[in-house]
Amino acid sequence: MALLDQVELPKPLKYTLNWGRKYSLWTLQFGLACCAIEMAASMMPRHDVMRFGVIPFPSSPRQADVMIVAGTCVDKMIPSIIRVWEQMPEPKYCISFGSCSNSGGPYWDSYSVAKGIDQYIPCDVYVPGCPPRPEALLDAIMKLQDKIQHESLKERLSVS
Amino acid sequence: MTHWALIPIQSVVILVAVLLSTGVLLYALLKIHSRIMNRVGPMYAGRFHGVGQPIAEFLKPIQKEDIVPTLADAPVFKIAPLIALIPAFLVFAVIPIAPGLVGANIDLGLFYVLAISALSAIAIVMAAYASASKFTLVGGLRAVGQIIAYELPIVLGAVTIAMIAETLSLSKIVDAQSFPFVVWPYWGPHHGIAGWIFGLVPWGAIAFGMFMLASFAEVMWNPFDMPAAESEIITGPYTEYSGMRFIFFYMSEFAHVVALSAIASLLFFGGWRGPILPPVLWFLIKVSVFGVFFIWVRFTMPRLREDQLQKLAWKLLIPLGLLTVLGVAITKVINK
Repeated sequence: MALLDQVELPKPLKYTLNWGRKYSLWTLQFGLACCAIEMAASMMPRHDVMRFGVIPFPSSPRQADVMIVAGTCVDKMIPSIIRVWEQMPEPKYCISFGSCSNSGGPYWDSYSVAKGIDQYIPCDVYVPGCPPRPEALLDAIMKLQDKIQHESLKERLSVS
Repeated sequence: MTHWALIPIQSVVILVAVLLSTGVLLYALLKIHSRIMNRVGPMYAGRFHGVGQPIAEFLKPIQKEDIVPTLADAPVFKIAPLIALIPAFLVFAVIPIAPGLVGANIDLGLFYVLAISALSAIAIVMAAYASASKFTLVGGLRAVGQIIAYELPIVLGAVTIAMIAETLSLSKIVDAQSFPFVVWPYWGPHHGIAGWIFGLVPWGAIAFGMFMLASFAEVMWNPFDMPAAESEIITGPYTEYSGMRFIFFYMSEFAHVVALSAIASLLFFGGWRGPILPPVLWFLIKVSVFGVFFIWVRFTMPRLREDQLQKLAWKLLIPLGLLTVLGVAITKVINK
């Protein structure tokens, strides 16, 4: 860890390590509203997100790599989201799932709804839809894997 | 005794055996878990049916941040995962795979295995205490209570077999099993049906049941996974661990499962003995069957309550174990 954020690794090693991160995405499920049902559906037999190496096991943020924020985040929930996000170890990723967590969605003019969680934590992939279908989450996972495969760990760690 | 120069080679072989078997078990776990839920499981890592998944699971955590909580007792917190890993390696050292093919062939093999595998409790207590979190503490206390309670049924089950075979050496126990390829070894072919019913078989069967039940509690897998019950106490003693240190705990748990599968097949199912196929293959087949059984039960059984767990051990299994030991003793004297 102390080394990875300072040295740009040689290409084969970088490829291998990125490959490892790409296929071992332990997911923290932050389901908040109806989008969480679609997220759960994507982990069930028909869509089976585990095919991509997404393991929805960890119940502690300390062991998670990806946080999927699915649903309407009210302002009161934001401290909890930030807290859980900060408990996750680097390198960590966030998928904003559904219009509400992207931008507030249909509640954009509500007094209590956060206008997108990317105002508080950095998001890697946004999934539009109200709610998005499970296929959209699969697409988001593939996009995230693409991103992980081609990123530089040094840059990633120095940004965050 | 082996030559001293062989010791480093043996150590490396055992290290590889631990890593390989935990990797295979992890892959089997993900796949069988998925099949039980009518899914397909990992499919893309490593191109063919996700065979690269265990490698990815190993490559990822070495890149993760190593978090030590502010309030944690840092030295203890850092060393606990390594201590969890040590018993796993030590147990693998004495398990005979085939006649003569064993890291260290000691006469007290059975005793050694049971003593060493109980050491993992210490690592869990260290992790639980050092994390300075209420969830880890509750999980740690549960784990220790569980391991103490279920060490006794395991020991009594093993003692039954040691009494039947009249030895504590793992390879001699295998030799003592009379009928090589029939799954039930202790019936003694010369006794016939009567030997089945009035001989040592019933005691062996009870001992086997106790041993398997207690094994699930020892490795803290369902239906006895209260120490890491995620709906109650997050991940129990491992809650604060991230990256490689968490994987060490995971590996020790998996190695423990493999070791207990190996011991169960050595004690109760004739170890490497079997027709046609070479001994090593027979041993691997039997261990795999037990491994699959462990996974199968883990993902199909609901979790017991904490008090039910303690009740099961102290009120049912331990008295039953003592009765079994008595029964074996009486049967042996009568059959003499």
